[in-house]
Amino acid sequence: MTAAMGARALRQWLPLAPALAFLAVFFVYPLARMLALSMEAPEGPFSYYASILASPVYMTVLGLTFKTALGVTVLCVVLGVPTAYLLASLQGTWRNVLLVAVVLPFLTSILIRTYAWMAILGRNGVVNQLLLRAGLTEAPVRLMHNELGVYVGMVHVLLPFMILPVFSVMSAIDHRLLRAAESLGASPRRALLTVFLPLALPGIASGALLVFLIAIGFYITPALLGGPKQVMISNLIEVQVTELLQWGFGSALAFVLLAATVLLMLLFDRFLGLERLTV
Amino acid sequence: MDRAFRKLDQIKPDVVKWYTTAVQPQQLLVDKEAVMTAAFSARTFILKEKGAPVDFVWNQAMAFPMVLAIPKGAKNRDNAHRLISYMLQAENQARYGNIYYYGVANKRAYERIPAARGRMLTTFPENLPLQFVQDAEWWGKNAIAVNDRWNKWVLQ
Repeated sequence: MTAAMGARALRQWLPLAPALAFLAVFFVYPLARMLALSMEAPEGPFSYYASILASPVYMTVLGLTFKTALGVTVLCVVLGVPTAYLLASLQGTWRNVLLVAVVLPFLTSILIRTYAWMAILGRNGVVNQLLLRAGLTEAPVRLMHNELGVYVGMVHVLLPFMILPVFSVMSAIDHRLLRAAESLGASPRRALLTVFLPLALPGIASGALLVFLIAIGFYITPALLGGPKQVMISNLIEVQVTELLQWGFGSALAFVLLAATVLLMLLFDRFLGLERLTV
Repeated sequence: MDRAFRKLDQIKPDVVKWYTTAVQPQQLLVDKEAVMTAAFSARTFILKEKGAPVDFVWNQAMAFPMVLAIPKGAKNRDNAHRLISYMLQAENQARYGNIYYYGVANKRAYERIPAARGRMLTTFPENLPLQFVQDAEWWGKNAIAVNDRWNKWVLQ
């Protein structure tokens, strides 16, 4: 009995061996090394952590990072969910054209997309030239090197991560359920809100979580499109690691970010349930 | 350092962007985001060569030397020395200066570099006295403290 169970477990886990080995070598080991590095401070193992927690700068920037990530996530939900709904309700050519339009930016490098936004949002960029020519403003409007630029750039990069999971969940919803609701007297709007949307919620939640987690680590877009106050924690980590060669301190910063992220995930799990997520 | 930060306080309202990568200042100039900037000389020289309406002056520029280093206990130390002296010969430095955009280490190399080009390079005899050399030792000791203060200041 136990031997049979053992054999079954082996059959289940053996195909995972390459993936687990890969993770162990390229993820678990480096992470453990970084953790060790973050504790090699001359003034005791937790002194880096203590100075991060005591520093108003790092706490402020961590707060800014989470605030920006949250703002971007909300915008992605507002923009992405209706788009996914449209995609899921279309058929044939239009659906394919729109899907390609969603996926195509996915295949372009973030750096190139960010530079493209610089050309669009700049002082002499496309938007400002249109505004000036239309006589809507007399001087160029500041559209980047501030919070707006960061939000535009990040939402554009991250929107596909929102649209695709929601789209896949929405396409799998049986539309007969909506018709059933309507035949029982629900208005189309009510059927959408009480039947369709709750069914699509796992997709929305997983899209939002995906966007949020990627946004927390964002680095290049805020560096190029942001102003002096749009500092993300990754930018500070980068300076510690590549310019100041403070690898221990940089590792400690990275672990503070990781801990904060894991904490948020646990909260999310507590209130929404991670197991309900589908992609 | 207090004096430096007081100066930064003064110019802060007019600064479009505190750039973080070496390619940004050129982009800011070409896109007319900024009217002037501190930048790497070579990249600005290249931009000028390509016909962009930009120019640069050497006044109070910070020069930072690049160094050739041999690790302690290296097996091929003598050959490394030979390679370095070959690289530093005026003739070879001149070759370098004629195709590369940063200053050369051997002053005599400028005898073999056309003056129009030489004037654009960091170590050209007329340019050097206008600049100051970055004090690597001071930065080695103080970079972390300056960075902390900078981070605080920039968020204010």
